Amino acid sequence: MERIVNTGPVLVVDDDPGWRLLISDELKEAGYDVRLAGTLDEARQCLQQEQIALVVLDVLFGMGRVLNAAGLDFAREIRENDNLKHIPIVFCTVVARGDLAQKLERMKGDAVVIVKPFNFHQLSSVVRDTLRKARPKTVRPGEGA
Amino acid sequence: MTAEREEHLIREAAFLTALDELIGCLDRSKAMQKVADVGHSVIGAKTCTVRLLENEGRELVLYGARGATEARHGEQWQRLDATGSIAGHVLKTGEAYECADIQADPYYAMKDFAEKSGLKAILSVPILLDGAVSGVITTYFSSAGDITQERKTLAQSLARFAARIVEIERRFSVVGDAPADAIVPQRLVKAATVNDAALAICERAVDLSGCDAALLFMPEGILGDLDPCGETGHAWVLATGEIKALAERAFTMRAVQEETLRPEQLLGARFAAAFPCLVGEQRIAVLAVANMTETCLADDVSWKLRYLSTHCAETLLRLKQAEQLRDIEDLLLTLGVGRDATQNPAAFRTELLNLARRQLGVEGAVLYLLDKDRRRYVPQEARGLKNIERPIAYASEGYELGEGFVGKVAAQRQWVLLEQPELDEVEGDKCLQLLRRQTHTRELTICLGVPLESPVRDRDLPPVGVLVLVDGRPGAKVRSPLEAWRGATVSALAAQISAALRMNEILRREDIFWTATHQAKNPLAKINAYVEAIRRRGPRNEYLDGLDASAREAGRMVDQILHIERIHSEQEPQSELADVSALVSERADGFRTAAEVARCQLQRQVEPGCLAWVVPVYVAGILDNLVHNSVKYTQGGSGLVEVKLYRCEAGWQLEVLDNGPGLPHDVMASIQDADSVLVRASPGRNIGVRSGLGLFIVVWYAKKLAWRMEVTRRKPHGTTFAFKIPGAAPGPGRGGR
Repeated sequence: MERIVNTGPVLVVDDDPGWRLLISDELKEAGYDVRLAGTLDEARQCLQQEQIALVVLDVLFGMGRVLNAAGLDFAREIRENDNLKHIPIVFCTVVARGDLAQKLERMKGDAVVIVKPFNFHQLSSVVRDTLRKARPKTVRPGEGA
Repeated sequence: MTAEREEHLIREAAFLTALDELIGCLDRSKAMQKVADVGHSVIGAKTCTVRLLENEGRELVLYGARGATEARHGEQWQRLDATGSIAGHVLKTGEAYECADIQADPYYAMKDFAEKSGLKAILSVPILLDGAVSGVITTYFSSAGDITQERKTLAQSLARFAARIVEIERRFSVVGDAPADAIVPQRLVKAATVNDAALAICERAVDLSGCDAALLFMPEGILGDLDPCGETGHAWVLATGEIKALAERAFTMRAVQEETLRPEQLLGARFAAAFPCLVGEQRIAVLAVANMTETCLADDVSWKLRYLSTHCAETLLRLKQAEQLRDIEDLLLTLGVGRDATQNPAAFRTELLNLARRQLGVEGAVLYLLDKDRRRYVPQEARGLKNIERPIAYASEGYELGEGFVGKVAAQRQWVLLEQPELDEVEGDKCLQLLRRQTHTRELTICLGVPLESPVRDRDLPPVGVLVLVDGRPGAKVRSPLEAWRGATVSALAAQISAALRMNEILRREDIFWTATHQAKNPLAKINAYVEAIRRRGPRNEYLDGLDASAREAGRMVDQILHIERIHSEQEPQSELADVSALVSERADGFRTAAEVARCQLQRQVEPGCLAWVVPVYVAGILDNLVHNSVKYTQGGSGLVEVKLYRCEAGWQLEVLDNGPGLPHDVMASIQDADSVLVRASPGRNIGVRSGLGLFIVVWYAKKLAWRMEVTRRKPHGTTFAFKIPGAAPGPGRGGR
């Protein structure tokens, strides 16, 4: 299995502890250093404290008894922040249709979307490919990938 | 004209219409299935198949089948070796092949099947693209005599159209490989209005074509009325030089129609080319480019413009619909219907009726809408009548077109005003009889029926509803003057209301579907993921626990879906006299384990003796959903969930309290309306915030049980759901039943 070097940790943001566990186990096994955030506030804090290489982001967050496509707003927040906008985002969502699909479509180009349930191999290869594409922006001359 | 000739013309017209629809279809599978449909229904083949050459020319893959061969989809005949069979022979020769007797044919392999299906003769035509065969259409007939010259010609035309679709798809895939934004402008994706989008499209069309002008024709009209041959419309024009002066005239879609969609005539240009903007088969708009000098478009430019027009259509449609909804809201606000009402269908209907009553000075108003089957007008809402619930109770009756006063108004499609109707007239009309019973006196002084025409102005469809205004006061008159402006106002209002009601219904269904999809898919997706994780890494405890929790959640979702199904089914379960105290205790106790797992305290204070006529499954639905959600969102050690049932002055009250995060303000504001509780986002279109199905089920069941529900915030945080239980027996403490 290819091990990934010279990248910072991958941040997994999902309000569902089950998905956090499953995604992080997979990414750890694939050789990534993983950070977990159950809320967007935790994710913000993590982004401030560490040099995150990639964010795996859930789209829908439970806010009390309601669902909110807060993941999309958070992605926009990252894109609008000069210090963070280079960080690639992989959206993980159960539903990608209708209004939400349109919103995701608009963000395409800036992010990759994978729909749950996904094959774990698919997840790690999406993360690997996304990091590869993003790497030229972050690797300084002289640093090998 | 001979009958034969007439039949030929009818067939040809049907054929051309079908082909016209075909060209809008960009999906290869769908398009080829349509080709097979046309072959079967219009050409009159007993069965028709369409195969396309794939896998580097080695296989003929079945893309469409209609008739006896339909079952071949997914079976062993789906792929054929390109060197065998009749299709293979056509592929080799590139020419049509005709066989009068299948059983004697050397190329046909499935003779048993043909015998069983009564297929005797075959006509097979190649789909030719750039001189090479790219597929084969095969039509089967029950006798050799059925393969007439006319049918051969039609089959050849069908093959040409199929080739065109394959070509469009191929060209689009080439054009679509261009760098992002090279054809479809980024500005279009970000456009907030039709105007922004139209100008972005025109600008790109001018860039791509190098022409002097680009025009985008788009019809006006309310939702769905997007036929460019509609009466009115807009043209967005981006033009330069001489053409600009010509283009400044006001365009209407009627003008486009009169001039048979020839933009060169509209502009006085020497060259023009038009490209339809299609969503499926629906023409949303027409994009045209024009030049003052003779010119022609290079092949690749032409394909790029076609690609642009096709790929901008969905955006245009979405923006158009959004603008129309805004227009409806603006009109309603202008007419005095409050902003809350425009976001809330129930309040919306009520305000419509109250507004009509105020404007015309009559006592009561009833709104009848056409049912789902478009057969009967059933009462939806009534205001100002003696028994305002009655119309709903009579909902199962309804009136067919032409039946009763309501049906007659709908059939005549115009206002009907009865002033001091004769007794005979009322007695002979069950609709008027019912309306009279609902007024204060025995007499029905005024009865005014207003048909609610569909805003799409489809004269083939009956009005979508009827608004009836009634008065039973002696000497009452429709407030003078009942002049045209009043009529026009109410009519216009009614038309807009009916469109918005329809849209709300669509949105509501979509939201239920959306929410159900998300909530049902999530546990199922997790089960899938846990199983995969266990397979790969062994049965770790955390995976097994997660799997168990997801399986339980999936089971709960099945219950939720059953609740939703119950809500949507029109058969209501019978009420029964039930011990609500016992029911509440049982349901609350069912969550003890879940509360322990969530480290949340669940307290139950249920006074015994509450007997009431209820539908037990509704009560269970309310409690299960509220307690489940409360436990779920108040976990973490300090969570407290209380279920209370106690006597109060008005009878009995049920409460579910928690100290969780509480509901968002916008959900709180509309909590009484089951229709809109699923979507709470301003202004009803930005579907960003959704409540779960649980809350929807609770609100709906409370409404069905006629339990008045109050939801309040608790300080410092938390929510109280309180329900007044009507008709409950006072219980032993007050003398019992």
